[in-house]
Amino acid sequence: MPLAPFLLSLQIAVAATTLAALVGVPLAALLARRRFFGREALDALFSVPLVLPPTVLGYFLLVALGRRSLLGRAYESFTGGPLVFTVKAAVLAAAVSSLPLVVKFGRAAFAGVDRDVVLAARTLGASPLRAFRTVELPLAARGLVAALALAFARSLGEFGATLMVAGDTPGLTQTASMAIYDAALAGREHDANALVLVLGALSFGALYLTNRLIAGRGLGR
Amino acid sequence: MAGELSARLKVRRGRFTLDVDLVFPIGITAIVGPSGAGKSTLLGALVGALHPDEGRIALGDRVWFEASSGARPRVALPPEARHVGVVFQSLALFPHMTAEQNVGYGISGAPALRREAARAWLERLGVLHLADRRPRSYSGGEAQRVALARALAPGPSVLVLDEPFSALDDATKAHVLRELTPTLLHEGRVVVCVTHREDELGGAQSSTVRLEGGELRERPPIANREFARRGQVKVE
Repeated sequence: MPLAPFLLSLQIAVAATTLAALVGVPLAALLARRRFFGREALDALFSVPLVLPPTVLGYFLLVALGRRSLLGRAYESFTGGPLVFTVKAAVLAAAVSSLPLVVKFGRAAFAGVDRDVVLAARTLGASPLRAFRTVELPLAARGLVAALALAFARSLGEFGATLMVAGDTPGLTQTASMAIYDAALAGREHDANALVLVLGALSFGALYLTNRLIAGRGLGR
Repeated sequence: MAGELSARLKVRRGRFTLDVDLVFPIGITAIVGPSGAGKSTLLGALVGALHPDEGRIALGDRVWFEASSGARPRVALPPEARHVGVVFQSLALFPHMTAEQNVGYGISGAPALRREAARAWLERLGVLHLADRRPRSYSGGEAQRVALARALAPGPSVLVLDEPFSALDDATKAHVLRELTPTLLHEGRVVVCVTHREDELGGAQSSTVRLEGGELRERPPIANREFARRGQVKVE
């Protein structure tokens, strides 16, 4: 099995899930707890990558991050190199694709926390931040871990958007799903089979974990 | 301690308007009324969970909330700044914490002191044996005692009880009440207690507020908004 693309995929998935968590978890908490103008619009905006064709998402990202875009030029003037067609671009593509899962499932996880329990913490003198850290977050933890497992699985298999913004350069930006594509086209069935098997097993594992967590048997609670 | 709690407030929620002007003296005040009368809304406003559209809430001369109609509140203390002890109808214990951690949550100080104080409160309410157990394993009465210990532990000047004895039968209720009244009233506390029936507190209350107003089954036409039923209050 070609190991390099597989390891790259794992690294990208870990980085993308972390990024999606950093943005998605606070956003999910906000959407679940606060009523504000445009709440559902914001939810829809962050959920849209779920239903967009990956190529459309990739095109948006290419326009937003490309060498002529504002962000792309800013990045280039800081680092001296373009953002697109690097591993960082692949991480961004995977993070954007999996963010909706963190937001959707995270929102449900926070909404499932009894509001009275959070209010109880506040009446006992806890600041909103302390109540969040000591009550909301632990009580939503199971659902959040499930959301992150889904995001990880989604990131691991990202193909379309990644291909458009990061390309498919063997040894540089070739992820496992790219390698499967190349191997299948080139008739290297052994390579394709091995990668498909491992990716499939990992995705299945992530979904199984998610189900266990949601059914309430995981985490020893 | 801090004096009486006064609450003059209007809360409009769709078809329902709560409009009250109340003074809760030191001692136990029972709030009685059918469901939908606005009891929870009133408690929410006292605790700081919701902001009335207008009115003023103050404990002694300390203003918790003040707003005139249609304006942003001039004062709106968040729940953590009001020092109100609350026993929720659902009890709302922290399910992921032991009884000791639940009760210690609102106590300030070094961890060892907090633990000690929490255990003392659990002992006082007769549930020290639950100290290291989580709420899932408590009986209904035990959970109520832990919730009460948690609310009392920080030494609040106002204690709000929302149907606190709903899980107990009448005999147990009377017993618990006799036993707890001195603790509840400790140091001139204002105790606000929502109950279903007036006689539920067995006469332990020093005053009773009856909240009526009920639910409106249909939305009044726009032009007739002023006919929307209001929460009315009789102080006896």
